[in-house]
Amino acid sequence: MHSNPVLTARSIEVELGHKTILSPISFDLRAGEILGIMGPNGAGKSTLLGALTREVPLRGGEVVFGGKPIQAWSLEERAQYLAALPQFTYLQFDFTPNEVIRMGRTPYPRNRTLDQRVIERCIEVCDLAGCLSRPYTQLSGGEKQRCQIARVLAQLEDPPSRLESKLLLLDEPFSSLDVGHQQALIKHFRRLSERGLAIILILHDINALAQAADRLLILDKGSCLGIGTPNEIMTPVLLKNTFKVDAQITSNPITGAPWMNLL
Amino acid sequence: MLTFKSPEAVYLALGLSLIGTSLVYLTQGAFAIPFTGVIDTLWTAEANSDLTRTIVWDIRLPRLALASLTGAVLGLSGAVMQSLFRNPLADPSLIGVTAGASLGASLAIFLTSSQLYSAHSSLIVLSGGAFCGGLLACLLVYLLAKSATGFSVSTMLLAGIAVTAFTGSIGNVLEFFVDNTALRRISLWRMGGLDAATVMQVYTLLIPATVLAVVSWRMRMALNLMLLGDSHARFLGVHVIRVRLVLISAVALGVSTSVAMAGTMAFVGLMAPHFVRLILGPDNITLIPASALMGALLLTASDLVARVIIAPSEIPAGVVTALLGVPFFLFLLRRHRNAL
Repeated sequence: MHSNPVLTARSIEVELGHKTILSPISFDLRAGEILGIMGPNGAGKSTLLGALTREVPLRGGEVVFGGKPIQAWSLEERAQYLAALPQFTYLQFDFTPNEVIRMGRTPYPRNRTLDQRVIERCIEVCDLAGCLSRPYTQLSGGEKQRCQIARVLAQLEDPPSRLESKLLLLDEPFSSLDVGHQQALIKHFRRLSERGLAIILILHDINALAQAADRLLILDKGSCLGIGTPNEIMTPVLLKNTFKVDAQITSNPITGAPWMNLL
Repeated sequence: MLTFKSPEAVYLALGLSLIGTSLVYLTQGAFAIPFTGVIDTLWTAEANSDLTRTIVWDIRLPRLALASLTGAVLGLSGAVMQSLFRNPLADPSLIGVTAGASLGASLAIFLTSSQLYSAHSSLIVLSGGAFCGGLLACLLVYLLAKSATGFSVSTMLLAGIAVTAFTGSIGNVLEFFVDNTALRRISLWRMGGLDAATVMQVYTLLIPATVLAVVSWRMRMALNLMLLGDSHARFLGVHVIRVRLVLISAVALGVSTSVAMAGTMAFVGLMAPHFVRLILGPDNITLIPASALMGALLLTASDLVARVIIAPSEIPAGVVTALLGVPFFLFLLRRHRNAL
């Protein structure tokens, strides 16, 4: 098993114009672990991802990635170890889906055969074979999203089969996806984590998150209310306090992961 | 639109069209020179009458060189700017860079009117003033149009209108305060388009043009990645702020110098990259060189039309590019209206 932490957050906090967006949060992420972040709208989930990657300036605390402070990485080097998909993508030009996925290969020296193999694999994983003949701008929302997921997946597959010490951050990657594609991708994320990849995943669908994640971090109004296994976090009381929902928790008969039923 | 044409074939076609247009350009004008006469003059120094030689070497060739170089700078600037602003409607003249450069040049003439200049140092003063004005306008529009979620097309176009109107009125006010010599020089410069082009102007534009070409070619992949979004590009290893500052400065330098040397040629920067994208797609790796060629071709052809359409008199080439460009811009506005 992998035990060394890939990412460590030590009481990181974020402030925007004297308003606290994120109260001090600390956690470790080990290689091969999937951490799910949940919380209501505006809880600070995207800010947390931004704070981990220095996209959002920290007021205090530090982030250690791969044994050194994250700001000590050069952007070029970091791109080979950390891939992230922000919530919104602005691409308005008629690239082909293939060209978009190929952008994920730019951190590496060009290697035609490997690039082609990785891209084909990512196309297969994200079920994009049927979209390749249309320009990106004419894809549906879900197809665009799968195309972007394929791009970040292509960014990590180098050298192939070595994913320990690498990290993938995904902010609402499933917001436009149907359940079939969600399930297929969750399965793929699990396979990647078995190969050592650490993943941080933000999802609105609590049940999907509970199936995907090894641990959950629950955020509300910028504060971490708890971090633990899905069974520890998904309690009716905690869900009531954060989401104001009345819920009963059962478990998935096959996987044993908790399942939230709204009452 | 998906296209599968080979970039090399497109470069070749554009290059051959440019050479063809240039040859026609040299034969046509107030004084028609037969094709063989042009070739003879170009190939052998002494083969023709002095008149033909003077017209080809001293009048038409510098003008042709200035037109194609200006066109290349504008086409390239348009391509870079559309990628930087993540927006297919960006154009140096639409967002006020040319207006800023124009005011900067006028101010430079005004501020230095008491001094006497050689022809060359006055070109440098003009370019310097134009560069400062163009860079300021470019940064202003960029900062106004940028928001947390990207770029607003409408803000960008409106900011461009505001900058153009503002610099225009400052320019008018300026004319009240300058003395006669400076006024004469300002209006002479304003009238000067491509006619009366000199080799010196071509050389002065050649340096910024080279800088722009080298910088944008080196950053072609970063430009592609920045189309995804700033964070996306950083996650792929791009120093977004550095790339953007360098490219904005290079574009402002190129466009401003072209304005100082050849006047305002509207819409070339808008049209050239669009035509290229229709053929080759949006990849900056092919867009950048092809847009430079396309811009050169567009402006050379426009200037050819401008010179022959009411020969022996002529109209400014900027009028021809605007006549072509305005309908094209309206068509694009309609096509991209969802993005506004």
